[in-house]
Amino acid sequence: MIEVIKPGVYSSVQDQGRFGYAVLGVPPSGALDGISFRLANAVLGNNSDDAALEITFGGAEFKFTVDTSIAITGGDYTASLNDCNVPMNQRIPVAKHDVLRFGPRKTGVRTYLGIQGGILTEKMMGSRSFYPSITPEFRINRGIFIPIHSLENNRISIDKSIENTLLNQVCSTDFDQSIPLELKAHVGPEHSLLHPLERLNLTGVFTVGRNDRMGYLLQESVPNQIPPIHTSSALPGTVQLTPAGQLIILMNDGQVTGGYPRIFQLDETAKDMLSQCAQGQKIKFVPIT
Amino acid sequence: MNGSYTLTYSPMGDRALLIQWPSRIDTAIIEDIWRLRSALVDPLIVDYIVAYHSLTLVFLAAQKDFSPWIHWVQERYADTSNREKTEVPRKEIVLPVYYNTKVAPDLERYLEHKKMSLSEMIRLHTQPRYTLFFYGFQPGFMYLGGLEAKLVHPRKEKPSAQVRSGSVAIGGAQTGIYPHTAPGGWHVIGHCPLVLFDPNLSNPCVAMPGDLIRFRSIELPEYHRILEIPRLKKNELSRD
Repeated sequence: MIEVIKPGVYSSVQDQGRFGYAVLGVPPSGALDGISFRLANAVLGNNSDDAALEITFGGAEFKFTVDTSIAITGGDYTASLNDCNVPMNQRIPVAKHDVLRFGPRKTGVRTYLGIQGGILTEKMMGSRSFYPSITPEFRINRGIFIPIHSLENNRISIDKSIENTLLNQVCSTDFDQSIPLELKAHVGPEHSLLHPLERLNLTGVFTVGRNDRMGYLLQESVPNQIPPIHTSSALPGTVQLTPAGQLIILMNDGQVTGGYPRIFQLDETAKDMLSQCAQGQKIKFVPIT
Repeated sequence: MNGSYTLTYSPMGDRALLIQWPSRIDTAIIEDIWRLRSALVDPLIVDYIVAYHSLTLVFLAAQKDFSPWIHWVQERYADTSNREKTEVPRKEIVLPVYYNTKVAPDLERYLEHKKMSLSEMIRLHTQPRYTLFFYGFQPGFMYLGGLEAKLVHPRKEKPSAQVRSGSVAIGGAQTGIYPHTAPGGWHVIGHCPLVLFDPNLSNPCVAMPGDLIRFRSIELPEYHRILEIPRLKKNELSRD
């Protein structure tokens, strides 16, 4: 088990997501930064769908009640084990009674804590990803115990090739926070309904506003004359433009249908990188042609 | 008239393909969508999103090129139109509703605006057999077609911070039930004491898209009696 001493601002259990239930209005959920999530499992030799903890904005503290191994990926919040700093993106052996603490922010927003063999909370509708109304909890609370294997039950076989491939890929938190982050985007189904001037306005720099697992709001508005549409599908990474000019980028807990025109669909890597952007980060859409 | 619409295909990124029918709310179109959807089964398709005039296929992994998939869908669509249209018998689901100001915070104001008596509103709301077009917005939130024109009422300008789960509401030309407590902009006119979404069941929802939904007005004693029935037994009541 992992005892939650401090849950941090917002922490939840996430795997690759919940599929097959969109027809019932169930969103996919799953880790927002898929690259970092997969890396955590890869360095531990886990299955790619093993569940990890997604810790938003650090501040969390955990105590282990068994021997295990962990991997920390994604946002860097100066992790320390029994007050000694530990590296990111590596397998770290952990002993019973060890205390893992997250400190000041260096990069990113969301940290993934991968555990040998994955987190073993109950699967609901095929997934362990927390979501209100589907899993009993939608966030990790202080004082609870998170079920995990103890290492004795686990044989470690680490496929170095997967790990190296992932490490050589673009790292989702490795961007200069002082310049606009370029987000690759496919044009969305309603992009063609924009006037040339509205299209031009979408090439500018935008500022990340309020955000959570459901979606990211952008601060600048884009006045537009797009005619209203009937409710249609929405996906993680769908960029909607409201009649009032608000840009909304849906994330993994976002609703599966929506009534706002869909201007862009973020490339998956771009969606992963956006999930590591805090409020105030400048971004720019780069259409894929 | 199945399989005879002109469909358009637009990729949404590289993991999803949006198939669109003519842009209108129409039971003939939604039936055509359900029919095509059931003909599109492939292990690489992990999710289907159905809406008024669209079907979105969500794929397991990124696709470099959607043209083979579009070709496949076109073939299947032609197949469905060549086949005799088979009438699928639709299930009818009856949901009990307690229409009373005690459980419906917007009922009084709604009736005032509509200059309508409670009994007239109940008659109009319980009369139709609504078509369950699709689920969206929240897990188990039904998009129903068939609201009586006299009951149409624009959504609230400022949404309520909390609408209780089970609230039966009207928003614009739509009516439905909030399966989970959430902020909402529709006018709450009643309360359904059933559990409308239960992730522990193999069928988490009481009805499937394509089913017909009817509301049945109940009085306080029955409302209380249903509220006291254990959660798992409750949904057996959603039949006649």
